[in-house]
Amino acid sequence: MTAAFLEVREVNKSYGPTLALDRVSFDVQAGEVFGLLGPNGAGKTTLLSIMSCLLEPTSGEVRLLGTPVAAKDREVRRLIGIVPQELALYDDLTARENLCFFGELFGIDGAELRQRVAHILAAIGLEDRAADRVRTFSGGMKRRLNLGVALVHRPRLLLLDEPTVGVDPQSRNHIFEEVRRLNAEGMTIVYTSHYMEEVQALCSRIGIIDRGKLAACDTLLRLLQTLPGAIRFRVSPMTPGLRERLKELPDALLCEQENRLLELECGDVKLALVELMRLLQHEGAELVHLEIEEPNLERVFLHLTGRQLRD
Amino acid sequence: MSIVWTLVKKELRLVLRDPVSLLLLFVLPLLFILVFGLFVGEGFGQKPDNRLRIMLLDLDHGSGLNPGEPWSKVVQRDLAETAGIRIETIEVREDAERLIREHKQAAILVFGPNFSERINRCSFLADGLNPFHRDGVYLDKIDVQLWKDEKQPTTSAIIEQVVQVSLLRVILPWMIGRAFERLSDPEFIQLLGDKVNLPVPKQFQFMMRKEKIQLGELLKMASGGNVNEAQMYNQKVGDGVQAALAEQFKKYNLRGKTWASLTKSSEEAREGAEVLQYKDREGSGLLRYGGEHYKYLVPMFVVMFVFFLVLIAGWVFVAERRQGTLRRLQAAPLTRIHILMGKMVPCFALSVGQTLFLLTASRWLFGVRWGPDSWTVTQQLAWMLPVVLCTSLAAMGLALWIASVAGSELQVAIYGGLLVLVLAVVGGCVLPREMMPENTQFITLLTPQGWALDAYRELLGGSENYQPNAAILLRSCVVLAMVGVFSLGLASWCLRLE
Repeated sequence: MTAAFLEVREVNKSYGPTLALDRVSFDVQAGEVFGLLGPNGAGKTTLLSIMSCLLEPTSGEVRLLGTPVAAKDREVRRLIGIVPQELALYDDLTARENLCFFGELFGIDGAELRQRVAHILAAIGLEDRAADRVRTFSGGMKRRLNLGVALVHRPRLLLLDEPTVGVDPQSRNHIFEEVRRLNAEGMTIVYTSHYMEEVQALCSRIGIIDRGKLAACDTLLRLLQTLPGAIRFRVSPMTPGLRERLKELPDALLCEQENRLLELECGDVKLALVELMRLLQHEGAELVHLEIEEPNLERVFLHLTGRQLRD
Repeated sequence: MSIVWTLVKKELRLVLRDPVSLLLLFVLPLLFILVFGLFVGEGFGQKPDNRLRIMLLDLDHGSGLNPGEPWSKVVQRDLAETAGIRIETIEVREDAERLIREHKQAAILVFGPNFSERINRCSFLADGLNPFHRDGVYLDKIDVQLWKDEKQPTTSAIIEQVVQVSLLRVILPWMIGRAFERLSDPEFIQLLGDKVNLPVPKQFQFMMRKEKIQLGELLKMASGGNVNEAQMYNQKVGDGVQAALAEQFKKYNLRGKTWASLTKSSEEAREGAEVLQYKDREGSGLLRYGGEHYKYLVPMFVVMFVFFLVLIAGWVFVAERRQGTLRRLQAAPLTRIHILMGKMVPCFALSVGQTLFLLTASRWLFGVRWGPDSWTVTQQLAWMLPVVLCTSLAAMGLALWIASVAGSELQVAIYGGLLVLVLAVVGGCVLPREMMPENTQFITLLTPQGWALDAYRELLGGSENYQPNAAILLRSCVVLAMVGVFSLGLASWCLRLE
């Protein structure tokens, strides 16, 4: 069995009496986009800091390509690019100067550096503002540059810490596109967010973290499958025979609610809906009201942690 | 090394693109020097000289009591020996006129070209010049003027009184001495002989055929008509009169011609009296180029603002932490040493650059000397550089120490501001050490600013011929370097990169 690209094993981190991370373990496979979903203060940034050599865990271990990630290890940092939550840029340098500066810190210079910087500026859509000081940029442009800076040294693992906080939809899409493009080129990405939609849209596997604990870690589909969907409807006329037939629908559980509202709890909402429509047609009953509730990460999070994602 | 250079370039770019930093490091110190330079007087920073300053313009080229020495020199000497008086001579008439016009001097004593000739003519004789009036000496009669500033009537009146007394002390003994000499002149004996009528004793009246006889006639009779003998007797009478008067007034030397000789008070003459040559210490032009006060102001403000680096470096460091770029630096393959060097080197370079800029600007704008005129620029730089480097080392150390303990811009402003301002005040950057009470002056040396000032003043504060004291420079440099190294050690220990 081959080792995972990134292995997080039993990682604990405490600040005095406060436990920021509590025995967190998961793997990230090469070439996947792994999402870390959790509310503010859940421990995502601490975990990312440990993964990017900025913090030593109190106990446990992180391995990248089988090599332990240690805060003093300079070589392993060359494999990692980090996009911090804050806009970690020099406002009085231009976009190009920011990119060149961080590139030079990784030992890239000359024509190669110029070429990479030009490529990144094009990728993040800031070619025409390359010579402008960052302080003149909009929040979205700064976010894009914040991402670009992490890419100059072509890392194999990209850690994004809430990269879309406070950005406009256009820049957000730009960042999404860039993340997808990088992933398509083979880059492994860890994406933290408290926006369920972002994680759902970008990540193939998701870890749900709350109060320093990893509550679940799986593919989106499997996480969603842990909760049933629901179809709420009213039919006319409602006969006792129809009620019996509805109870017999496969993989569905019928509950009666107020005001003649019926609810079918089902694992696969789409399949159950097809079966329901077929039955109603066969029985000659008319559907007068329909509500569909598919499982989503919000409900999964609520289910796993007992609180809303944005609490 | 290239990583450090990358960090240094970035840091310098950031500071040099920040108008507030540039203002604080380069513009404000010059502005302070300029503003203070325009408002403080030439005596700023020096021990106050409370003596009355009398300026002289000496145009007298005659000869007086001593061959080749004009009478004006005698008056100068007399003034200089007067307690509480400082005498300065001015070479150029235009300078004297300007000083009065610009209200920089209350009065200037001008000896005209005929002063010696007029004094030589002063005599009690009928054909002599009588310079006296009820209150003193007629200045115009002896070709003396006293130029006065109308705005300083009290001081000029005091100066006039002092001058009058001095002139009396010079002219009166001269006239008395000359008069006393005349007692042995044949003309005077002739006059005496004519004026003194003596009664003839009765037993000789039949021979003289008169009851009274003139002294001159008696002497003539005594010489038996011999002209030479008559002259000899006349001389004897003159000498006798002089001797009798000398004996009568033996506490005085009536032939002395000077106050000291006349009053036999030579031994009481004040020692160390000096006549200084007037030098324009105020400086010239709009910026008062070459003004003496810049010798104090430039070191004071150079040293004070070099230590403002504490604030700049602190702000830059804290901003790096707040913006998250410090995290990014840590995520790059850098060591703690890289990051520290990346801060220290630009701090040091900025400080050295700032000092050299201020020193060059001060030399160019205010005419501040970097050492004796006999030194070449290379020599001056060679002496200056160790002081600049050691001061910057101390400033950099303190800057990084503050940066290492401050967690926010506000803390930098509070800790750094307090440190910089308090040390500047205590160190003598606001009030020169010379103006502090002597028993508290040592306190300045408890601060790096005090030591830096010592060194800079040694180089910048001397006259054109002053040879700086190498021991003072060396001692200051060693202390500053130690402060720098100690602060850096402290900063390295306290520095929170996380």
